[in-house]
Amino acid sequence: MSMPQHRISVCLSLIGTTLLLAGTLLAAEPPTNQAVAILENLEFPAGEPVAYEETQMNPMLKQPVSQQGFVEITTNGAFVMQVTTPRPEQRRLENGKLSLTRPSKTALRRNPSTALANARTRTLTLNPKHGGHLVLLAITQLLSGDITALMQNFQLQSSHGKTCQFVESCEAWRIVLTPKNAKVKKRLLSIELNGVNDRLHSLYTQRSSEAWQRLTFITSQP
Amino acid sequence: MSQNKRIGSLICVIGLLAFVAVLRLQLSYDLAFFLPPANTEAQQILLERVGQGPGAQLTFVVLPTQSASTAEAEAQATELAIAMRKLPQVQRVLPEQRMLSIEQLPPLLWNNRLLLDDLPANQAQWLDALSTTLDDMMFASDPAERAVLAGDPTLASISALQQFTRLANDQQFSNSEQQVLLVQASAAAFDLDSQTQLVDDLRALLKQNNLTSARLYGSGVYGVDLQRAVKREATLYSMLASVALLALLFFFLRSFNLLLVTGLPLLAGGIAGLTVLALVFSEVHGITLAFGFTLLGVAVDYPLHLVVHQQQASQASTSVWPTLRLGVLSTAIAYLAFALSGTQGLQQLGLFALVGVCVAALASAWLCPTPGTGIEVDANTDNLPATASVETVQPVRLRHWPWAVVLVVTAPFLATLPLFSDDLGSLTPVPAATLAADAKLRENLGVTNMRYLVALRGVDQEQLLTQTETVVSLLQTAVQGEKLEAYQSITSLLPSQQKQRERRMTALSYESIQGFDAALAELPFATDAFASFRAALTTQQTTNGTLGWQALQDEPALRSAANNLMYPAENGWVSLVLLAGIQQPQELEAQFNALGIGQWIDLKAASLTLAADYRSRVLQLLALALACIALLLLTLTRQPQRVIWLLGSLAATVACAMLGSLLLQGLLSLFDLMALTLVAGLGLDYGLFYSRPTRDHSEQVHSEGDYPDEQSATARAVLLCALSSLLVFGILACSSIPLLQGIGTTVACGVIAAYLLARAGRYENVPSLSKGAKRRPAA
Repeated sequence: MSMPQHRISVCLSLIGTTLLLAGTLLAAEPPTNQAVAILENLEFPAGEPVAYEETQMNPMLKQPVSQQGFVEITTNGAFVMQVTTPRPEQRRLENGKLSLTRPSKTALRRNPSTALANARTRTLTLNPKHGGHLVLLAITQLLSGDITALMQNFQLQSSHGKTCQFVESCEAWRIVLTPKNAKVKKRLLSIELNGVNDRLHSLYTQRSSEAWQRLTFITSQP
Repeated sequence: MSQNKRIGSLICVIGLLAFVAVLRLQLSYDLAFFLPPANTEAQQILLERVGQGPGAQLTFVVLPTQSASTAEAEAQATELAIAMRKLPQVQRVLPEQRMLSIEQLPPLLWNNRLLLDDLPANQAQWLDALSTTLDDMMFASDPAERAVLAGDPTLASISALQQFTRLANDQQFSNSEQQVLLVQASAAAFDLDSQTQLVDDLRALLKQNNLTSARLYGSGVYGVDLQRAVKREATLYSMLASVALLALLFFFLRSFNLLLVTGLPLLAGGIAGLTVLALVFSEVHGITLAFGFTLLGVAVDYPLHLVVHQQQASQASTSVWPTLRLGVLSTAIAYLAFALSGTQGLQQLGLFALVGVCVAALASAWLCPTPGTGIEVDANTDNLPATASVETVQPVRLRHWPWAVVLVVTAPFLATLPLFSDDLGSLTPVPAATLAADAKLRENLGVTNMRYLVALRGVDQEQLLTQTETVVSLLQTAVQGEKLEAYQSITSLLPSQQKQRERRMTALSYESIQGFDAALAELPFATDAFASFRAALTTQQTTNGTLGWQALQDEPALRSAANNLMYPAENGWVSLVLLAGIQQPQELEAQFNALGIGQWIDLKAASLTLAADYRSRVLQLLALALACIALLLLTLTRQPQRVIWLLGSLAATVACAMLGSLLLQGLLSLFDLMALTLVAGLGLDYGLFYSRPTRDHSEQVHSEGDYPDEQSATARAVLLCALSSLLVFGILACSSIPLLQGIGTTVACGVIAAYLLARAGRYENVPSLSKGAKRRPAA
């Protein structure tokens, strides 16, 4: 192959690659409204407990730790998280407030079956500027279908920094939420949502390079 | 001396007294001024805590929900809270969005966190403690929160702080009807200047946000509003009453000079009372002034009697002075009972009224000299008949059935109805509805007002702290056994020096440090996860510092909480342990009593007994005063029938006023007792004049018309006195201050009853038809 031919073929291949890449990206990046449509069509049946596992890692840990339990969106839109393992605890998110019910160890030793029911509940107003609180707010908004409220605090992005990316087909999808607030962004890098069709499968929260949290919904029924 | 000279000299004296009063007078609006003195330790603690508790610095801002949704109302409340936090007098506004971080903790607590609680002493205990830390970390995933856990794995600093912010749940600050913001002032509740500034700023802010329907509650607000209401109402009603009284008197007397003669004694009495108060007490309560001048209303009768008798019965008047003197002495005895009662507020009222009536009577005698006053009668104004001194007098015929009937009718009601309120709230001039709303807000938000507490007294601070720790140890067991929800103790912030040394030794012991390392290895924590905790251990090893009382006083965030739980008292210190959520109070009290230290206090019981004990004491004093008055009347008049009639009429008058007060305003308070004493004073005054013996005309006949003149002069004078009192107290009944309104109503009812009973109790006087008497010609 002569030098000009080689140059032409290189150029063509470069143009071809570029065009190919551009086509792929164009095909793989549906506009934001498509991501919004997916989120709006998420099905998380109200009043049905769903088993979950929460795994967390941060610089204080040498290995990830996990909790199991059930989550539920109540008919009036509250998000209830019932921890069963390692110790019972209940978190209830409603109207921007978190109610935390945690029995004492003494009460658990005495009567594990009634300890949670008899434990004191503390309620606090969630602060959208607090990374941890924002995640809880986002989960509630997501599962209760309040996407407008979600969009106020997050930008919807693909994992490549674009709007949205579909993996393989429209049946399995991944949407990345990044906080709009610059201060919050220092404490919460992103929330990655993975799902299939109209079901959310897991949330992966990246707080920093060393701190993350994964919430996986195991089955539709406990 | 001419009357003009007398008036001039009296005005000079009034001016001099007013000058002294203005120089010395310091006004106070402290709501605790009228609280009774304590007889027991529990009552003493109750009084010491009034206005000093953690709830005293709080102002509740209640915003009625105007928006379509609760969420919108909450958003508006949040915006308002942000603006409130910028006000200079505001320390904190709740609910607030909390962020757990080391920077938000008081440095004193964070730096001494290892001394605040018992650290785990071995591996098993550390394993238990760090498992909890792991649970906390799953929830608190923010780096700032992890930093707190890393430096304080048992969260001793947070636990100590949480004991003093037992407010609760954010949920309770809002509902579909209202949003509540809780403003904590930086100034104390009794710092009225700062509170005034705060209340004004809050109201201006609410107005800016078109929230004029918002309501403010709290001790500071009540103090500020009371001050303004007393000033406003005292000015308004005293002016209204003065104008009305002057118009009434002028209508009857038709002379400006006589108006001056009638008004000056009252003014002299008021100014003299004020001067004595200013000299005796360091501060005089605003209510004393507002109420004191009304109590002095009885004194307007004195110059009226003298003036009307001089004016109308000029040629044949028996001196009214002996009768007047009886009335003054009787009223003074009743007011003396209050002056000796013990409560500073009522002492001031009693002393003010006592001095006032005496000075007003003397001033009346000075301006209207008559025989028997001991004051020189000027030749020019001496219009008394020369025959007066040789006249004889005869008792007036009196009817006993009117007062007996009234007593028989009212007695069953008074015997069966509950009469007195033992609620301490009834002693404050704050409207009952406001107090009820305040109590409900505090209950809903869990703001203090704990019913039970433990009080310990000690000369030595260290000994007192050690004793408090013994009590706390018992309470901790109760908390673990779920018999007690929570407690607040100074030892959470300031452990005894002995306890601090023990904790340091435990923390630095080989077993504890080894146990910590071993537990850490068993759990999924990184080996350097608690590096800052290890650094704190090293610091403790090298610095050997301890927490002290002065350090707490130097920490602005903790000073108020510390002073609420421990404070210097007579002969040492007092430590209070506040208890909340007791399941079985008697059981815990028995366990506490077994310790043999301190005292278990039920604040509600102490409050009820305090009011009841004090009322009982005042009633005893009034009963003694009544006995003294009866003795005085009997001694000076030597007419048992008349004294029985007087006391019977007095009892019937008071019964009517009590019944009227009960029907119109509910249970009676100590202030109502004061009003009833005034009613008794007025009733006695009318009775004394209506039952006054008249001249016996059987032996001497005077100029035409003198006898009916005297009788009608008395009737006219008493009617004028009753009308003037009714007018003044009727106007007072229109006051918006419930206390003054109640007094106005009670006294107005009493005046009507007293006048009618006195009038009905006396037969129309007819000339004696004894042998040899000449029938007087018709007038």
